[in-house]
Amino acid sequence: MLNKFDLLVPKTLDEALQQYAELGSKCKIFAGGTDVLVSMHGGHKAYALLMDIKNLEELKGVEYTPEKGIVIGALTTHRCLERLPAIKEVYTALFEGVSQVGSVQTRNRGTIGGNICNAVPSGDTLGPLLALNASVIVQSVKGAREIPFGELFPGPKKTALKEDELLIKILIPARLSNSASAYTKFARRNSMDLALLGTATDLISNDGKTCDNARISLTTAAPTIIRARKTEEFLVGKELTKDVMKEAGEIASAEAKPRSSWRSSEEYRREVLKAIVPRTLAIALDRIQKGVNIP
Amino acid sequence: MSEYRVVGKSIPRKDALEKVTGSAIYGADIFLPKMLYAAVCRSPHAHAKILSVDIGEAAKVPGVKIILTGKDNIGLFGQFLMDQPIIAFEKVRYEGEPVAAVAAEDLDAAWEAVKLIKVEYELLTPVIDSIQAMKPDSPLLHEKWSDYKMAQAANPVDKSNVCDHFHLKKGDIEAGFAESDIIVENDYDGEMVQHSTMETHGSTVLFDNKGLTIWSPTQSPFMTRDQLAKLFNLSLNQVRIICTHIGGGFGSKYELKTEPILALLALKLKGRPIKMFNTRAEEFLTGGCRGPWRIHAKTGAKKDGTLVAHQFTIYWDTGAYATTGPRVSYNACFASVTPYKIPNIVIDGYTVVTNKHIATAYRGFGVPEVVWGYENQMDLIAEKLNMDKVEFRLKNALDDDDESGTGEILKSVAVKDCIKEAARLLEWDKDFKPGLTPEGKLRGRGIAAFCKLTGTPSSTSVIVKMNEDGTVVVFVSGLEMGQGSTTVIPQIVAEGLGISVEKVTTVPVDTLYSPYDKTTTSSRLTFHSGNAALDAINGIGGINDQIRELASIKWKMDVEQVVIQDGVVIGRDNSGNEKRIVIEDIGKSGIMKEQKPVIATGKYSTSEIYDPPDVETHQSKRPTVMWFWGAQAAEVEIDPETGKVEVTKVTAAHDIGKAINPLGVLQQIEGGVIMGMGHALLEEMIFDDKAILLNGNMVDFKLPTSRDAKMDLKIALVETKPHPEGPYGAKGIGEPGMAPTAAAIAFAVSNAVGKRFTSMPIKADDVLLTLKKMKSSDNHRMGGE
Amino acid sequence: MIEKTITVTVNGEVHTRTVKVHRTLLEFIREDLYLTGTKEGCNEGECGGCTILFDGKPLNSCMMLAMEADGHDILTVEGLEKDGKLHPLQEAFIEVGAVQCGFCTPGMLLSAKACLDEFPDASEDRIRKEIEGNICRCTGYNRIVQAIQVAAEKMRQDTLIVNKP
Ligand SMILES: Cc1cc2nc3c(=O)[nH]c(=O)nc-3n(C[C@H](O)[C@H](O)[C@H](O)COP(=O)(O)OP(=O)(O)OC[C@H]3O[C@@H](n4cnc5c(N)ncnc54)[C@H](O)[C@@H]3O)c2cc1C
Ligand code: FES
Ligand code: FES
Repeated sequence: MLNKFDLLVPKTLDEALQQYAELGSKCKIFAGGTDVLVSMHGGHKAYALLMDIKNLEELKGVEYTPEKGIVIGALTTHRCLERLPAIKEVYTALFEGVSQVGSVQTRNRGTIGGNICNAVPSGDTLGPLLALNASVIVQSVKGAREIPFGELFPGPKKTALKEDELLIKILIPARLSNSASAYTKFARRNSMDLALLGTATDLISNDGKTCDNARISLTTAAPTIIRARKTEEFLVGKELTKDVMKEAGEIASAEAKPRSSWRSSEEYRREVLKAIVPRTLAIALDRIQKGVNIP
Repeated sequence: MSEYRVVGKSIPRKDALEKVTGSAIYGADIFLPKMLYAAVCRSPHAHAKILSVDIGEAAKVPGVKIILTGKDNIGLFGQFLMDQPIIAFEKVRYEGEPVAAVAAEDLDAAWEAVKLIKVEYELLTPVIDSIQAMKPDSPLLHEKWSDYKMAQAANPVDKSNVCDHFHLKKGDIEAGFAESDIIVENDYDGEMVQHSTMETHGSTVLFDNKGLTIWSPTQSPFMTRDQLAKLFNLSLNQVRIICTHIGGGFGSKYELKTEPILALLALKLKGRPIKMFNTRAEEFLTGGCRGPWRIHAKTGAKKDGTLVAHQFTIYWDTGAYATTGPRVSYNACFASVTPYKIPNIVIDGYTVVTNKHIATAYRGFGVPEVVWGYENQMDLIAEKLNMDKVEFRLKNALDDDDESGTGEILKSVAVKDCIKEAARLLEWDKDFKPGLTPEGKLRGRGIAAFCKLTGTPSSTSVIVKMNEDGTVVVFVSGLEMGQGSTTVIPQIVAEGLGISVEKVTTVPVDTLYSPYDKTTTSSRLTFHSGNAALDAINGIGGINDQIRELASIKWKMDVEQVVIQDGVVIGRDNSGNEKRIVIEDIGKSGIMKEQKPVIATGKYSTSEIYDPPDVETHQSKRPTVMWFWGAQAAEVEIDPETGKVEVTKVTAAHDIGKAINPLGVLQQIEGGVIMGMGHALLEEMIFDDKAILLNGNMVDFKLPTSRDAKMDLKIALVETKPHPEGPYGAKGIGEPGMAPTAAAIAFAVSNAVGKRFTSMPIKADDVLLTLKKMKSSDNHRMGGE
Repeated sequence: MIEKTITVTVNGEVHTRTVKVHRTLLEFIREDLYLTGTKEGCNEGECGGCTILFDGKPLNSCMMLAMEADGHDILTVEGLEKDGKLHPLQEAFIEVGAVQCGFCTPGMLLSAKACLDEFPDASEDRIRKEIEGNICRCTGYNRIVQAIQVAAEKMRQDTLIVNKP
């Protein structure tokens, strides 16, 4: 059961931004609602005013060109992305993120913009997007600006969006031909579960052996999602042998800041990182060798 | 087997059509004119004094009809000890306990009012588990047990949190241990889990000039009726329980849940039906659960593997009120004697109250827990003696004419066959190396056997009515909650009458007209109701006799001249003339018109065969009408780097006596195995140190999904030992399907890791950290050498 | 806006109602249209009991506002039967024994239908993936998966017959 609330349904982006500028935090943005409605159903939150943004054309659609990369409207659902060949074949880490969000029903409703703005460290698109060097376009009545993914989450459950800004779209750069990406979600159940840990890798290797560059992100491994920078530095220039990848896992585990909670202990989380970081690297490397992630 | 026409054939469930078309009416599908909605204000604390309840603001919400608080409480209820208030007064004893209830014109108003009720509490120290509860200086949840009325025999220990103590004794335990060559002694425990039926608890209650009418998806309409009649001082014909379809029970819908509080509201709002269903969050707090448990076990054996002594002490954390705790303990303590021959046994069961959610029956009344305990012991002994685990079990397993740990000379025991079958299906004899596979997984396997009794004595009655067209309706009060009773009972009746099963249907249960039945629990329905139905058919004055009488009138013969053979009514008069009619065609003959209706009652009661166990020792010549036996084996693969366990294979062999509907039996076992897998590896209710639940939602409480349930599952229905008293030899299967699953899986995990896990569930965390510890101690040893 | 008049097609029938904006689509279906086949198991998107097909896509109706259905097409379990004939999935669920308590069944059937509509040749793993959001506590899923496979086969046969010149 939802508490009583008032609903705004702006028809255009201008109208939405205007209203949002006036109301700010008094108004809760409502996209797919899979986070917003859950918090209301449980009685944890009782928003008095929601703004349904699903009519805003500017937040819809996906454009992909191998040269320029991909532009994803904030309202694009996980399911829509999951079914797009460009995501599955080219931005594979993101495919592995979106296809593992909740259930089919949740993915048919939940949007990538909502996943980002919800800003929990377990969000399944966040790790892939960070690794794939994405950025987002946000806009208010004052204008639009671009925020790199790395600067998007200043703190737990916080985004860098200002009180009057809407997330409009997500940009992911074009892929290089000798690169591949992968995301591993580790959860207790095989479906319908939040990531107990996750890691995404975007790897570049020109000879199919050596790491020329790696971007590695860790999910639920700290209060916000993080880059495993020491691990990345360690890997550059190294041949990706089993031992090297194993060591990378240990470095990632050491640089992560997982917490102990009733969901799991810090010790266990660190152990799992040691396992999934090398595995994800190996998958990405294998993809490069097989040439499957080429745009 | 071909001896039967209908029995033993797999037929699709009779209730399936309404279920796949969405027309089956479940509890929450009841909508009545002028219906009100209720919501409950619940305690956020596990243990606190209620200082004040202010309903002033709440009462002002438009649409609110009434708000009741602890002051309006009219009495206490409970299945054994009547210790539970409808609405808490003075004190709350668990998180989620009702402190006020609202009825309003719509749910919005009811909830708005709930949010405006202000309750002042003074926090008390919560008793968070049975260890704390058993300490002499523990706070007491209930000051004095003797202040409460007792509805059924329980054995509370005054000035303690023990609401029931059970003791069973056979032989001389000390002598047994003295005689033992090896003794293993260990502790086992498990966390709280929930039935998590897809349909939450709730009901709709109306009070009018006729009395109370309740629409509820309850497993125990008659017990609900009786308890409510007692509580509200009504006669049995003033309380009517109309059963809806049940969206899953597993024991959780066995006791009164929302009915008393709604009845209390309804009493004040005559003529207005009031409905309430738990939200999922409320369900986690109040829907019933299997309480946490601890076992201390000590078992002794001879060098040759003969078991000689077995001592078991169980602490059941049953939550804030006794409810059915003593029954869970009773059944499980009996089952703790194991399916093995052991001459010296002592079992103690302490049912302990704590400030946790109220526990109840859960698919097996404590049996999966004790199986986990005693089968671990068996594994350990086999390991110590270097014996194969199957061989060891077979050596000790009970057989016909053996004396059980409960003092009974057993009949119809197929546990050996079950162990053999489960092992055979797993290919136990094939070379198997536990530990690392070439693919880098850890592999292991395990087997567990069990025994379980059905609650005895109990009685059931059934009414069978033949319509004018020859179709038959059966008034059976066992509830269909997914286990298939609406199909099995018609099969038994069709077989008994010699007609086709399509002609037989069961009638929805309504205490107004349905005959008495104790409860739908304990896997007792097929056996008890089936026997009662056969009694209605074959008993004196039963359906068959009545048909003979009708035929004799029509054919102008003496009743004695009419017989029924293989579904044919045959009359032979003195001059040798023969008349015949197939019972199947009886409707077409017109024989049934303008005659007395063909209606017969039948009953089945186990009071006669029941030998009340000795109060001191709980030994009895016949403590139960029926034992269930079975065994399951499992194979697992573990990811050694994350500890995640995958159950690759489970084999299940169950002594079913005779499967009336094999399809239905398979369904029960398949569902039981996956539920058992969830218990073994995934499910647990997690509390903070104030006894507040942390994971009361369906993402954090991890029920297996379709992608967790994939495994190779092989099932054998063992029919080598038909039950001499069962309908066509049948026994029950509702609970047994899950009884040994968690244990078998746990042993497979232990086997793979090379270290025994004693706590349920075994989470990936435990596995990995154990592996890590083992590795580091290995290194240590190596370093020391 | 606190309420809205909506026109929705449910199982082929057009309904026009005024609903409060905080009314969920599930409440609308069950309590306004009395189509009680759609079940509430959690109200939080976690069980799939309330699954409906919304313009052909499976969604949890507890996680939507009723007003969002304005102008859309909804299929509930009551609409699966066509001209008095059960849908192949319904038949298969009965035959194979994929139903026990039946509470998950309506939602499960709709997820299964969406699965086969999109993947007529779905493998076992695909089926398990597509019904991952529908929790069943009774059956252990095996028979549900089998029933979907049986229905898929039947639907393929039916298509062959229809497509024959
Ligand atoms: C059963 C279930 C399972 C789930 N499982 C997973 C899972 O496995 N992995 C996972 O990552 N998530 C999971 N989720 C969470 C959720 O589905 C995702 O986070 C989803 O992507 C949220 O998108 P939405 O459109 O539904 O967001 P909403 O609920 O509409 O919004 C989410 C937040 O973002 C804000 N917001 C939305 N869009 C914008 C915008 N354009 N501009 C500014 N602010 C905006 C909202 O105000 C709100 O704070 C699950 C949810 C449920 C109910
Ligand atoms: S009721 Fe909607 S998903 Fe459970
Ligand atoms: S049949 Fe009971 S929940 Fe699926």
